[in-house]
Amino acid sequence: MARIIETRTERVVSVEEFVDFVQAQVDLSDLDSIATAAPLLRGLANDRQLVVSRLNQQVLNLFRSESVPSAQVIYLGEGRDFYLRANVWPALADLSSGRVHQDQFSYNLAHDHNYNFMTVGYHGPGYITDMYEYDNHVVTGKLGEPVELRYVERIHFRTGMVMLYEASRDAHTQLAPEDLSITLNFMISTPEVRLRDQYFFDLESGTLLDYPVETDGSRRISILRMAADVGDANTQQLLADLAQSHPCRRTRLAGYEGLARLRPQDAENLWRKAGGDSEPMVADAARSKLEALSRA
Amino acid sequence: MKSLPSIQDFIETVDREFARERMESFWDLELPFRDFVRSGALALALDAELERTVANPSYMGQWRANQLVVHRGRGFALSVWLFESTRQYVHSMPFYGMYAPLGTQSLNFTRYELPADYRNDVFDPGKQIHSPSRGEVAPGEVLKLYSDRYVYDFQIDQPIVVAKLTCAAFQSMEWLFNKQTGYAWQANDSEINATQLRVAAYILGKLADPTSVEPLKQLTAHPNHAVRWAAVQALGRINRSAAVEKLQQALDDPHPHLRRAAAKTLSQLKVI
Repeated sequence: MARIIETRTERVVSVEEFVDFVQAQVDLSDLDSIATAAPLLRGLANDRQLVVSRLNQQVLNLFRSESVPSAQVIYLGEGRDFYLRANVWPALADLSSGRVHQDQFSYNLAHDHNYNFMTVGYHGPGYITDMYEYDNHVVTGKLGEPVELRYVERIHFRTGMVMLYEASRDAHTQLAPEDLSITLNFMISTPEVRLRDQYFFDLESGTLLDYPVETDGSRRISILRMAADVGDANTQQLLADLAQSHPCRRTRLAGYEGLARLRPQDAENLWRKAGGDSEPMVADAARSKLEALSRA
Repeated sequence: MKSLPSIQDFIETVDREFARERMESFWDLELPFRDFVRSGALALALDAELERTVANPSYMGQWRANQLVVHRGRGFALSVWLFESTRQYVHSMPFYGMYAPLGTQSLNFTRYELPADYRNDVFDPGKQIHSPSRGEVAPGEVLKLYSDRYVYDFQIDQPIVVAKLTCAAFQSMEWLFNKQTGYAWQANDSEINATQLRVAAYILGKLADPTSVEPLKQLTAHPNHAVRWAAVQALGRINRSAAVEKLQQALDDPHPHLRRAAAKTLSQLKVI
């Protein structure tokens, strides 16, 4: 369950101090250890010039040095396998005026995160979030699959509050704040995050709705699909390797699909092999393909 | 891993032959681009990404949704895209481009003419595209996108992989046209950079810190009219006299919408 961490400090913490602390003291694979950075994140939010000075600098540089391809994410700093950013949460009035656009994670759309992160309210009245929990281990990853999302609570995430989200366990919807709001986020980006799926959920039907397209997994799959469309014998071997051994089940499935496109004459054998995959997403897809082949 | 000399060769060719100050020279790249596409180097580039992923499962290259960025150079970009479906609207393109289907499928498209009095930076919902003509580009052939005169709609029956060579955006907006009526429906910033600056100005206005006055004043001279206007509006939240000064200057702005907005705002403020 997402944790609200009570922390009060008047101390102002710099980005450099935060990064040094995390690098020296925090085990990024351990939620309790991540939580020990809460007082420093709160202290970072005490720097009332932090976002203004970064934005002033970016405006003077015309965003030439900004590596984040978003207008509403302000990069603040990074260390090994983590980074800091400010997130802008527009009010509905901001959106309807056209001055600010909705980023990928739309309000009112339930989603989880495939990374742990800690966030602190920095500016404005703050968004409202309905928190849920689910058991990631029983989700096979098929679109439309039922997912039991257990409602936990509604939180008005105000300035100064600190919250820690657990990857692939906490899910939430966000409602637009009454006025533009800003949070500071401590994002964990260890390598395994790139192998984990992230989901959109349909709360009404209680099902897995979709995968965000701009996640690492979705991008990887599009590379496999493109390679399969233009590939040769060398591509076949690479796809076979990925189909058999990549840790991400969607990637394995994309590997089999690509191979079947490149070697249609071997499709039956390929899907038989895929049927032995340990993940139902791959094995069930293989069964469907074999059934379709037998009908053809 | 196979070596990929031809990508570097092609990039050097572009650097040598594309004079950025003379946009028409972009079309001189047609034959080198066609030869490059036919060389199979982009298929090898995709294989190289797979090979890195096999070696390191968490490897992430220069990947976007349905896109491999092969090279982003001075004034041009080379990428491979997966076109998955036909778009709902017909989009104008803010750059010159050359598209070449890879694989075995042809790329089908409809080309529409932009109206004669089309001005990209002045959005007008009364403008209408016309005279559609259909075309097809075979694998290994190149479609040249004359985006200052035409807009293109691609018909995607099944996903198709396309190599793209594009120059830097020279138009500030991307217009969307309704396919049924042909009329302009909306326009977006053609570059994320302009959106970032507009949104940054808006946020700085909301934060209303006096240290933002100078950066915002500088932004009122930005080439993009929407950025200039966002900066003036933000100034208005922080420093009235600075905003009034910029509003008065905006009465002579080259963009008609900005001149009108400045006059209206000054009138509301009872400054004129």
